[in-house]
Amino acid sequence: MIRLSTWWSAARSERPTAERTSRIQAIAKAHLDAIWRTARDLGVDARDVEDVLQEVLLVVVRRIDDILVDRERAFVLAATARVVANWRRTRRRRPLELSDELDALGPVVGGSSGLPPGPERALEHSERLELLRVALAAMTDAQRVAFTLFELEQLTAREIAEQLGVPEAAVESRVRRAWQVFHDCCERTGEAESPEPTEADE
Amino acid sequence: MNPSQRSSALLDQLRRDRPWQRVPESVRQRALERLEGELQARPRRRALRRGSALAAVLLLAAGAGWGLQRERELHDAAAVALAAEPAPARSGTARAAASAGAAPASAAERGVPDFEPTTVAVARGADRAWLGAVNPVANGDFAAGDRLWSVRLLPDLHSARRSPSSGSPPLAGAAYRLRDGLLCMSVSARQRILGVWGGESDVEPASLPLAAHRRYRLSLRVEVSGSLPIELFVRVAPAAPAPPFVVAALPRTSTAQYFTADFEPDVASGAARVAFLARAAAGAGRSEICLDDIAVTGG
Repeated sequence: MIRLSTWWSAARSERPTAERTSRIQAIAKAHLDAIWRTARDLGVDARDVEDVLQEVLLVVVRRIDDILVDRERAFVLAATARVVANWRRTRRRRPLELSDELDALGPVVGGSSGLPPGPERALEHSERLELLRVALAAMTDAQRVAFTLFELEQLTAREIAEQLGVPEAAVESRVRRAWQVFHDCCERTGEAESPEPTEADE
Repeated sequence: MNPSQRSSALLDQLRRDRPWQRVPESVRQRALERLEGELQARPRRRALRRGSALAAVLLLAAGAGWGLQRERELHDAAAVALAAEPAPARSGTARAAASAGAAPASAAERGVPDFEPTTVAVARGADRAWLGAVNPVANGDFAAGDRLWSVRLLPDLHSARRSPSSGSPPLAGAAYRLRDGLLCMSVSARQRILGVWGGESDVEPASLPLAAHRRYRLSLRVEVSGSLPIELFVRVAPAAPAPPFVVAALPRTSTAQYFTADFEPDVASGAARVAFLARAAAGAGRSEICLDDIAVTGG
């Protein structure tokens, strides 16, 4: 019976405190949009992104004690990048590529705004998205993560480096190379196909 | 503006107006509810895991006639913990199927190759009861020609990037014709045709009201002929949680095929629309796809 009491005490002590629970909830509420965006930017298709989102929240629950107060956003975005990397490794062949394509045309077919933007504007918008998709696909995984976190989510190189466990200079180098890929894609639209990924900075 | 500035400006625009800028409200709610469930269940599960060995000892002990009361408590705790175990997450598409109660049929049963049963919310329609139902998708049967429909050829950006002379790909009307009350579109390799019902017509906009938590069925009839395989994707948008859709790799046969997908929106919408996207595979020649009886029934 002594052992049993010890076990019950241990179980009680592991229950998240109210403070910890409310912090987890606050982080989730504050950064849900950013996790969603980052997962989509990193190439998770529409039908899997909710699962990725849930996985990131579980990481937050597990690691809540490791998350520094002023690094919450950086932590969840880096966690998103890791979960996406796992997703990419384990996902099966994508049979519904066409559905993703129609998702990307959200404004044309009734996206989140629900307002018809007119064909010209919708086309222009879908071209921009297509360009981003092509550019991100042309980057290496490391470049894509650095570019997404730095350029799209606007974390600092230091924050990214801390969370990914790499030197700051490496992050800067990846962002620089990724930017070059993006710029090349912008320039080559209408001229040539996007460059293949290079592993120079790996 | 120099090229670098142009790229920066473009990136700036993308930063602001990607369509996935914000989590859809229904997804947000689900995610927070699941998180809440996890926060409640986690400590109990962990305690249960650590206590499993002890539980075995207790069961033996209970058989020996002591600690019976404590063992009951442990079992109660186990039952609570297991009941609180959150259901495994499923993909959005499968969720749509499950919420509608439609068990995804196997690919062989559907006669639809290349699609994984767990990710496809489509049942090939032996059930044609919907044909007689009231269809709020006005002119979904194309009896009034292309009224309320907008059919366009999407630019082939892949080719456009390879052509030095091409600038922005032109916005083109797709080559389509109306034959015996069917909307028929001719597609060559890799061409994509987008059709939208309602919302895009300046003259006569139309939209489809959807009530929350009511069951609807999206259905249509398709005929395909020609040398190229065609993929077809049809959906109602916006409709939460996951936009319901029919997706099919179409056998090349001019025999009519019927497709249906059931769905149950989380939220009401006064302005849903219907869209289809048809894409031909790479290869030589052309194919023709004909659509008819596009309907959303139920509610």
